[in-house]
Amino acid sequence: MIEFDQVTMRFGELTVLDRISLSIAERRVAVVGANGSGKSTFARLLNGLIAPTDGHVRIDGLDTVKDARAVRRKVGFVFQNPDNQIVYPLVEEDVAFGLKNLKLPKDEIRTRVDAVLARYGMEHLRTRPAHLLSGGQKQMLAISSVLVMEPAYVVFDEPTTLLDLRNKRRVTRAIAEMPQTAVVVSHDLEFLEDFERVLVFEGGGIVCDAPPAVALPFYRDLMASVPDV
Amino acid sequence: MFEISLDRVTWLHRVPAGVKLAVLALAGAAVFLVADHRVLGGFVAVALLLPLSARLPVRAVARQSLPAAILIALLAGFHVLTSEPDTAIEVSARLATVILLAVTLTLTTRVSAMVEAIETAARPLRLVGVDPAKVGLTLSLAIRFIPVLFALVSEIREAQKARGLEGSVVAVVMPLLVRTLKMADDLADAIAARGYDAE
Repeated sequence: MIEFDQVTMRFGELTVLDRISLSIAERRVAVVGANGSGKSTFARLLNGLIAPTDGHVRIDGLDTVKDARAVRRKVGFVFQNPDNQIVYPLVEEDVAFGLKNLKLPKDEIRTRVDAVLARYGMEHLRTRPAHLLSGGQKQMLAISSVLVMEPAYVVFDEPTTLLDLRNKRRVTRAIAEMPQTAVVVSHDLEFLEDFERVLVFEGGGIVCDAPPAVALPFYRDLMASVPDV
Repeated sequence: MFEISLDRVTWLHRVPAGVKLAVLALAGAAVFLVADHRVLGGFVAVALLLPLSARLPVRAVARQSLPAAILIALLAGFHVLTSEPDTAIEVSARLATVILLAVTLTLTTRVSAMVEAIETAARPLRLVGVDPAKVGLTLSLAIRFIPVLFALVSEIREAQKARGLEGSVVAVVMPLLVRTLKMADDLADAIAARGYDAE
């Protein structure tokens, strides 16, 4: 269970999120909103990458500030640009990075790396330098590197933005099939149609919290009503 | 193109990374302590034979050694013109030995193995407040991001060329700086999100 309790986030004078309170128990939750609406800040609060200015974020009862280390084990995070999150030069080394941080035995690291690479059809890439992978392969590597840590929740910040149609389908299928709870920030409304719940962010608040059948048309209308700059 | 630990197993791949790093350090120091041309020739010969004995592709070794080879040739030419040919031979032999050994090391050793070896070697530095894990992470990130930054420079140069700014250094350096800093920021978040705890 993810809980936001009167969460406010300010950067200097700018209030990005204003007194957000909600609980998330669904397995597939989408976050949509215009650029600057606060959705990426919302996502970053989920695994304690940033601390709220006021209020509390709790993951299964753990406070993202006080219990940051435990929260990060529970909540994985996949960023928009995989190039900015791949740490090691080789595929299998990068997948193993998070497991080494957990100080797991070498045998277990090997077993888990093998399993995740097999699950996502990346065994043949295991010794390939990451910079030689395609955009889709890099994003799958980023996802594998997070899922290998077996988090209970995974946050995706615009995971398909930089991908072509084929790779977008590959990534969306991987997200659909994974057993974990997924919170996905995305502008790809078609991808979000099968989600259980959609949060629409606007001006630092949630202006619609409903199933996709209601929230997505609401969001389309909202965007259509915004005058061109 | 960067070759990183060619995907094959030879006797040199099986030698522990720590041993290879120690040999590189010792040989690198020793080659600067001798001036006898026969001994220096021996160093160069061994440095040439090592990649051959491991059956590393000559093209891969040559490609990685080429920039250094050009530098060595320029230095040798400089010494021939300004001092003695003997000095040119000594400098060339020393640098060629070190470069060839370093290239052989990188082509036969996983970055993760090198990082682990360096972390182990850096453990005594804890006494002066240095975290060996940070040393290892810094090294792996440096290796990982060399090709990423090359790609970034190429992308920015193309974009500026399209705007007719191909001659402007500032037009390349400024966006490179901004994007590198943004990338560093994102990377720090990604490392934290994957459970890395800086001590």
